[in-house]
Amino acid sequence: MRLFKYITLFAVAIAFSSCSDDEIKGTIFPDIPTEPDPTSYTYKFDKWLKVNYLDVYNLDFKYKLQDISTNMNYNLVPADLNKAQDLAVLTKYLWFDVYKKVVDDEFLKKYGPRIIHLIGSPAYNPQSGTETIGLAEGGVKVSLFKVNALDNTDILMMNEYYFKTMHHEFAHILHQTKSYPKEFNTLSTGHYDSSNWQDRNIGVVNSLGFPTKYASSETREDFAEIIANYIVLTQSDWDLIFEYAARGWQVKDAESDTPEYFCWYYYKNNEASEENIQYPTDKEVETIIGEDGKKTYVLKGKTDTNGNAIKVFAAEDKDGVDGVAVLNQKITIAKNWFKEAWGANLEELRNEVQTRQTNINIEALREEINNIQ
Amino acid sequence: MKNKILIIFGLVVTLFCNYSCSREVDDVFDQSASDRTEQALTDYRKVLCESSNGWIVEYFANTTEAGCLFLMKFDTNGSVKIAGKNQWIGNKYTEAVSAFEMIADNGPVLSFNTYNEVLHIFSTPEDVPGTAGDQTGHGHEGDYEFVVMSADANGVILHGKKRKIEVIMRPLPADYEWEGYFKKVDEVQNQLFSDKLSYLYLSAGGEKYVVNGAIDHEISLYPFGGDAITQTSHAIFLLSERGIRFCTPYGGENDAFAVQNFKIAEDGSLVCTDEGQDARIYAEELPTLFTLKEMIWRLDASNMGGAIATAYQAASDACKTKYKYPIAYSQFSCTKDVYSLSFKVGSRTGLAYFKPEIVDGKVKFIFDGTSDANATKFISDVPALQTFIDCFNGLTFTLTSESAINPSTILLSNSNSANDNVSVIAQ
Repeated sequence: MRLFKYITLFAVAIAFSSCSDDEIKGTIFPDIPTEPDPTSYTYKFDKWLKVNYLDVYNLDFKYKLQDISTNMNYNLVPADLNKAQDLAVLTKYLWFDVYKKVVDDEFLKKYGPRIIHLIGSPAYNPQSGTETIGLAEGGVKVSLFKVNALDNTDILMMNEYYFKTMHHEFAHILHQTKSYPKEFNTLSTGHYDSSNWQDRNIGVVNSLGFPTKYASSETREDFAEIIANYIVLTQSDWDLIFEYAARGWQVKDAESDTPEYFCWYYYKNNEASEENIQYPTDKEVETIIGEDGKKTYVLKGKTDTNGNAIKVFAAEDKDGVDGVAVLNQKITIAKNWFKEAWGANLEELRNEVQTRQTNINIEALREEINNIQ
Repeated sequence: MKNKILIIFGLVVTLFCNYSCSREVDDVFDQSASDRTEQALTDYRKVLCESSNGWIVEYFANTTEAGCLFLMKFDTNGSVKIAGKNQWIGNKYTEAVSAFEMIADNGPVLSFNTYNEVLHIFSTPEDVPGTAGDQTGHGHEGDYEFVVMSADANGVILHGKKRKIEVIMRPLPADYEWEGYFKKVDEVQNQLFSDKLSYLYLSAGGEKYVVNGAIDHEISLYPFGGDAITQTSHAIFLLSERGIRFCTPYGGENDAFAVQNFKIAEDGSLVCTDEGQDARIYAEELPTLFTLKEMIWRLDASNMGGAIATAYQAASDACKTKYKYPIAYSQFSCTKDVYSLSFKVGSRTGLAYFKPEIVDGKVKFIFDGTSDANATKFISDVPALQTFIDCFNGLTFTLTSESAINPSTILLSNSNSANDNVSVIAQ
């Protein structure tokens, strides 16, 4: 403490000694031009970004990479110009225009990020074997990675790497502005794993009431993942989470370093013994609904030596968590929070995104840039 | 104690205040720092864009991998066309257009800020295909942002911002067509290096080193006569149309010299162009090279002269008459320490044994009449083969090559009758 005091005073002494008459002529960094240069190679895109993001949302859509704007520990490359253009028009179509239509003009102007930064490559974390696919910094900046892998015909891929990430990071921005109910944090207490979430099995985490593996890392990621996945996942993919959540999941070999899990099993030739146990995939299992409505399961198209269907059994759910109920509670909290804190209808947002996802006309969206004057 | 410190500190403060206002000092620069930075950015951008046929760019991604060449043409509209031809893009001439910008960062920085498949492949963090281990997260670790150290119409010197490796840019002469430039470099590669020659020598500062791996531009060196395991060091270089450049100066075992740039000399060897350095890279002396036991030298039937050409043609014709097959090829080689001149006729190969002697920088062939069973039969059936062998037996040959660094083709000329000669090609 005493040392700190002396250093502070010394700094004051230095400050007093500066009596130069040099005129301060502004920053050493060039000013951002107010208008894109019409002679520039990237003029049309720059102009489109200005008209659609900077002027409307006060948002700097950065697609030209400067390493200084990134974590220097990562090895990264810039985004490809054409990929960046596609992602820019798709982001407007699938995110900004959605909020504009469903909520209002002002919502993203007020709460949206100030910077979206595109990066061409993944940000690998070699030590943990993971890759960072998005970053939100202080509610101001959202960084999106792996832009050069964009395939505008693959909505699953685009959701996984970009749009789910955007909704995820935006959810962080929103809950950092207005907290979500603390009740959410109690729903999965004891089941988060911040250091090994990436090694967990998706069925296991669904069964514990998490929508994704990453959601099982910590509460705030869980909250953002619930919202992001609810918005972008198709109904069938969303239903699959609940289907997995309803099942029991057990490990095949508990002593393995990379254990595999199963939710179905059967016995070869219907002969129950440890050595006869087999683990079918979902596709191999046929569900039979009895007259009493009870479900039983058999191996699709296979019989034992007596001509009987081979019975398939569901693994016992031993985790003590009603995953479906937990997921429903989480999504209910998220919907209510959206409505009460932001006056926004999460269901409508989802419906609009789902409609747009199935009606992407990339050529028409690109024309917005090509037609800019 | 506390009071003393405060008193001393007060004096220091007073001293600073008084000294700083004691006199006016002339400004060192006419412009402010921001203006000078802006001016530098403008000037450097202008230099980059003014090279009418673009720039040859000598680039090393890291300090363990051979360097490579790019051609770059900067446009005033902020675009840059980059071309390359290297193993990472399938050794195919490839060009791509992307954006560049001069930015103020660690000084004036040239940033290639949208993806260019030719350049950024060295920066992408994906695993490097065809290499050992998993480089995911690292890749080649090459820079794509460069601090401009100097720039004028004659050349630009850059330093990679992260890795600090020097990048040299030279104007591409106007008469070079871009793809043709890379063809020229391929020609130089073939001119300088051969996979048939296992080592070269570097002489520098009075020391001599054995150089291995030059064909891949990633070399290991050890002192001539030294231990190839314990005394080996490594260096990487890149090849251009005018020679080679090491990534960093090489100083040998004792840093007794520092060599980096070599140009192709008239004799074909590589001669150091660094100031004050007397260094050269060259091949083994021809007689020694010719008699190395691992070498195989095939006679070039289309490059024979005098009595040798006549005798070879006669022997080949006679073989065809006798066996329906001419001599497919003939070569000098060494198996299990025994040298031989072999003849391949049909599906059989015959070996006529000889001993080479190096005499006054020349090679003397001594055939003692021994041969394997095939050759014995050949010679018995076709006496013209013996006549051909006699063109060498007991005679001394002068060895010459067009290249002092890549003598993979050697002309053997009878020292007493230079017209009697034959070219041999390393296999």
